[in-house]
Amino acid sequence: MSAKKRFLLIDDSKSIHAFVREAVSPLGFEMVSVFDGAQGVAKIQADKNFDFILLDWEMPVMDGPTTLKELVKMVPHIPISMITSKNSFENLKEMITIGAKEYIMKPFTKDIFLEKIQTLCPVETKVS
Amino acid sequence: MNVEIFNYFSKFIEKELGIVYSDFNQFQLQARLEEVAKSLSLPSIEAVYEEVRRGMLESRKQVLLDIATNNETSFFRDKSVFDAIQAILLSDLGKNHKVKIWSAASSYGQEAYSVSMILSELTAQGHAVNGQILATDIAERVLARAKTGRFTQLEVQRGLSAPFMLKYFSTDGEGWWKINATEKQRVSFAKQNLRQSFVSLGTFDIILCRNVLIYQSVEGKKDVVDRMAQILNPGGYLILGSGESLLGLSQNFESKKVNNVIVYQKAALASKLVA
Ligand SMILES: C[S@@+](CC[C@H](N)C(=O)[O-])C[C@H]1O[C@@H](n2cnc3c(N)ncnc32)[C@H](O)[C@@H]1O
Repeated sequence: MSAKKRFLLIDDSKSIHAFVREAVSPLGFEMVSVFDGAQGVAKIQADKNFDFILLDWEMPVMDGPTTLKELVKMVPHIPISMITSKNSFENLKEMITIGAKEYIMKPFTKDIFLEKIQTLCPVETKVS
Repeated sequence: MNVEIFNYFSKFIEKELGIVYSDFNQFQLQARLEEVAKSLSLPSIEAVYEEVRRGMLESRKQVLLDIATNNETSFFRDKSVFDAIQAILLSDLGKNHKVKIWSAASSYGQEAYSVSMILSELTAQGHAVNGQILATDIAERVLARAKTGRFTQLEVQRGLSAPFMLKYFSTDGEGWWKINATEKQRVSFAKQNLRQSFVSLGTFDIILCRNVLIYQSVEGKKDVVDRMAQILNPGGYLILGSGESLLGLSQNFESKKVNNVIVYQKAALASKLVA
């Protein structure tokens, strides 16, 4: 087995952190939590050892699009997915153009979430 | 629901669709019939039973048949199958003519539109491959929506990556994701019961018959795949759902592995017999 996969979740909603933690727990990923964009950028400045990043759109201090622009400059090799209730084609296009790899629209199901995680960070999983 | 009512409806559905409800799925049938009662504004399953015994109206019959079907599907369901379809489209099969593809139990249309997106991808990569897709289903409810080419947010997130959503869809003001015109135009929709004759459909190079035969009895399965063999062009392929197999069902095909997926190619001898 390869090293434990590690990801950063940047989202101001506690319930999303709880959901994600629960959803990925069978995969054995290590999740690092921060609650706004500025914290996210600071975290990545100090530590670039992540396999992927999940990023909310609407957050205090620094919003998702601004954070995305920063992160794409700092760590262009780390795939980033937005996780958002901005659900139009234009929103999707804007984020993919900036450099997001995936786009998870709320509401979503756990199955959809895990499928998206799989495209960001392919791992061998046993389907239960 | 008493035994008499259960037997009546399970026989009706088996006769019309070939779908077998054993005692084992009695709860499933019961849940579906409760939906029927609701959508017909009747108070109970017993009331539905009384009504249909007095003589079944065509419109009521369709409600029953629609609800008896399981329409579970997604874009690129079992991704490896679509990789195999892509390889087949790039093989000799796709040379010099428009490849004709039939999605034989298309549900909301994701399977057919996925193939259409593959054709667009291949064209964009410079391959001279051209195709046309017929998508059919027994359930009018799902067909009606499939034809619009519109999908919910949950549906587009299943099986489609963000770049594919961007490339092949747009949103309208109401939250629907609509497939683009080029991918839509390749697909036409029609109602077709797999229990009934296929002769009016024409012939095909690839038939997708996925996740629908599971509901048929062995005899029903044999009958469907034999008639599919008759309308496949020589060298054409039948593709079943992952986990489904033609084993013991038909002599008309040779099983072949394409990209690690088992597909069924119409046997040379069988093609001569039909031609
Ligand atoms: C589970 S879906 C499969 C959809 C798609 N082929 C896939 O694999 O994702 C099965 C579909 O078969 C249709 N179906 C069931 N019995 C049928 C019959 N006798 N003739 C035609 N379609 C039928 C149902 O209406 C339903 O939409």
